[in-house]
Amino acid sequence: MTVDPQMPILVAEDNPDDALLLTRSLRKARITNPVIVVPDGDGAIDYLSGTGAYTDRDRYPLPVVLLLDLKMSRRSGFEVLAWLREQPGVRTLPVIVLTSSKESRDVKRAYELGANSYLVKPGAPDDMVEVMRGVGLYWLILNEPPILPS
Amino acid sequence: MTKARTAVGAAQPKPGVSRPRSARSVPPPPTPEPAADPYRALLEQMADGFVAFDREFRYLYVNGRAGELLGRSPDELVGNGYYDLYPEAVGTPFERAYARAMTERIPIVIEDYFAPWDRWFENRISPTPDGICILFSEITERKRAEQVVGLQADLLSSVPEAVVATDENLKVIYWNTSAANLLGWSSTEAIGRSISDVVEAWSETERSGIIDAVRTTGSWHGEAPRRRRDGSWFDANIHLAGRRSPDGRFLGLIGVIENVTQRNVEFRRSRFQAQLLNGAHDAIIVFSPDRRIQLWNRGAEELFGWTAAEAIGQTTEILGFLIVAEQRAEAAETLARGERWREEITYHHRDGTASVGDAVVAPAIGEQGEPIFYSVVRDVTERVRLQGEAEAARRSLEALHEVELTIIETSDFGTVAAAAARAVRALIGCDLAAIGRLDLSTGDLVVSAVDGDSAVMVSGLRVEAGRETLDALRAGEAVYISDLAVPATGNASAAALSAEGWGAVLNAPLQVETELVGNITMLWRSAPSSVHDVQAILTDIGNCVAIGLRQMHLQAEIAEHVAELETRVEARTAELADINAELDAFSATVAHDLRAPLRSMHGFAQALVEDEGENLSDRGRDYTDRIRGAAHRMEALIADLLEYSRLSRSRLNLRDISLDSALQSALGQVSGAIEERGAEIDKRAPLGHARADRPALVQALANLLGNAVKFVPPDRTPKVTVFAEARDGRRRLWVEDNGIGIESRHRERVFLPFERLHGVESYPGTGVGLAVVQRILGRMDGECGFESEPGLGSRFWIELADTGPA
Repeated sequence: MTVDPQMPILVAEDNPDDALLLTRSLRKARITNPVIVVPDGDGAIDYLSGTGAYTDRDRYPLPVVLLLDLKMSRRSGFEVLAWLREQPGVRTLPVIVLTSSKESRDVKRAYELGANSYLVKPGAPDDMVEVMRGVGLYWLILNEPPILPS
Repeated sequence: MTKARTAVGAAQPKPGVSRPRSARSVPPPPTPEPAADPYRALLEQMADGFVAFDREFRYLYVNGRAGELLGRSPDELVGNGYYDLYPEAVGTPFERAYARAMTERIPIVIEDYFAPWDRWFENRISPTPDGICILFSEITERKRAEQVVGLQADLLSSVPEAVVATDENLKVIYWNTSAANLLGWSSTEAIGRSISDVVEAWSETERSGIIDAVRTTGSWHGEAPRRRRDGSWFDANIHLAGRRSPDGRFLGLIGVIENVTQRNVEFRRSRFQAQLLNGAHDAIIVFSPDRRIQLWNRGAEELFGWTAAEAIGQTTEILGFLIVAEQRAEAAETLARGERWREEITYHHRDGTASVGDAVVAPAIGEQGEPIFYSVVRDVTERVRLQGEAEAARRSLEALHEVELTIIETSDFGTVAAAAARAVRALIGCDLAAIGRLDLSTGDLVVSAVDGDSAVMVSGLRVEAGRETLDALRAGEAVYISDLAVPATGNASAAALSAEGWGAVLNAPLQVETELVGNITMLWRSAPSSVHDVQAILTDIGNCVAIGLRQMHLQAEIAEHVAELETRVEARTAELADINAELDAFSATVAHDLRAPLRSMHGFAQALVEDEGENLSDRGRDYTDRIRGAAHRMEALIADLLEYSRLSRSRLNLRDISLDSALQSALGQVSGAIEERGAEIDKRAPLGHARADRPALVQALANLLGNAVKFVPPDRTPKVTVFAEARDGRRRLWVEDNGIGIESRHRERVFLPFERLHGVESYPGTGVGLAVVQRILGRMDGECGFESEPGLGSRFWIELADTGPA
């Protein structure tokens, strides 16, 4: 089955360049789901809990997957992960860690906190497109998503 | 010559007496011519007998002497036949001699025994014209004397002793058979030689001494070893006597030599046994069943104080040993059974002192076969005393050992002091023992351990020792108070101790070198009879405790040092942790913060080409390509830098690695470059085994192989040879190429990170590869290096601990 193409992909990324290039890579990988970018961990939590600027669920529906950067200002990706797995409504949301860190410590911690996947940002733009194509294929087409409350 | 004898002479043969003779007719007897014969008177005066026979053995003439010898007057004889008058002569040697002289007409001299008369005669028979005449004499006395001489000679020959005689010059003139047997010289050999040649003396001095003795006193007797002709010795019992002429002139020696070797052996044996008996330290006593003492050796004299003269004949009562009644009964019973009795006894010397003896009494058989008992007593007082001392020493050693063990097992001085106090109390036999320690800060003695019960003397107590006591202890002297009840000046604790019922106290110093470090206090309820022998024990224990104290101080010092070291290590560790954290943070920053803008540059440059490419000029596209290229190289640089940094921190797992297998993996990593350049790889297997971390080793090899393929001029086909060699417990792996080589001036820079010897255009790279190789090898206890000929190629090597050839 396929995911509702209108369900957004939430991207938590504090670097606007990266956010832009990521969005571009998703497009180039022919993933059409709306991409919503939050600039830090707090934003991600606000969005997922429907608070702050994101109280309107119709306008900001729960995402099909969260692409989470680890090194963010305010609240880090780890904190977002830890928080997320404690929330009854969204604890099962697939989370893909997307970071430039290859440190094994980070990898280990991310999986311990409940990350579903851990991807390292490739340096070359073409490689990024390839990674996003893989993300789309697996998480948006092959993977059966959990039922999240609307 | 005896004149009274009945003589026999030549006789007229009597008729009927047969005798060998010729059948000739008998001539008429010659008429004597008395007046005309002046010889007749001569014949009559002769001392010998003279007769003349006619051919029929009738007497023609008989002189006076002959008549005497024949026992008849000449008148009776003349005209008568000899054999008629003396028929007993028939068959004697004389008859044969007469007949022979008569018939053969020869003179004959005969000296023989005339058995019928038991007398000896000498006859000189001469033929005469008428018959024969005989001049004869009786030699019976001479013959008898000669027989005695012969007998004496035979006697001398047959005696078992050697008998010898010499002349005045000491030349042997007589040598009997026994002399020949004893000394080995036959009589013919010995006679004529000097006596000293054939009876060898012990020495010339001895010989001349003996000769002088004989000359002056006339004889010498003695025993001396003598040598036989064959060189063997025998014990000679020698009697020597001098022969002297009636006028006292020395005529020679007569010697009798007896071989007494055998006798001497027996004598010496018995004498030796007697000496043994007397030489023994043990008392040896022989007594009869009625307990009368028969033998009492010198040992017995010493042990019991009675001389042999006093003891022999007495009963064993004088000994006073076997004092215990049970012992006496037991011994009697054992002896009655014919068995030996042995026991430790207490015996008394004549002066009354008692000693401990090891006694044996046993039945035996005496010289005459009578039953006797012998007893051997040995003084073992010393042994018993030594055993006691040994036991005391052993206990002392054990106690000390205990203290020493405590010292080894614990560093707590209180425990050591407690062990020492126990040892002191056990060994000295005091009722309480305490070990004190000198508090260096206050100068007080503080009780560290107490063995014994006291409410006054307890651990931790500061002993208020009087100034005098303390001074004595400082001087290394012990202080003994035999009666605590007597008030002592300046000793406050004495009163307290006395109040608690203590009677005596001994206070001994504990010293290290000559420095007072503590004390030992010993308390008695009542003063002991003696406190000597204490010094050695106290010294030993004191040394132990001193060691304990020293150890305590050392332990404290060590603990201080350890604590300081630990603090230092902690500080260093913290510093290192900080540095590591900084490094990590740096790495993360490099990875994240540096990479992010790079990724943006790269990404937007590409986006520019892809999204706005048709709006760009060729030059614009060239610039963006250059931006992308630079971004790409920087990505590689950052990746290598992170790898290099990671290598120094990651944990390596060193174990036995197959170099062949590692090489295979490394070749796999650089297969792209190999294919691209069409490189030929010559692997000289097997490379063997070495101790390494596999991933790290593969990384190092891959870097070396990559370089070997990369740094080859484009017009040359890269040829890489890999081989290994064992070097003194190490294994060296060579990677040889036919590349551009390295000039020796660059030798130092080759392994530095980010050092590049060539332009990016000709040989792209980050310059980290060899630095990574060196760092990897360094972390695996390995080394690396290279040889190179610029323009022809390089040979890089790595070396690791060898774990096997294949």
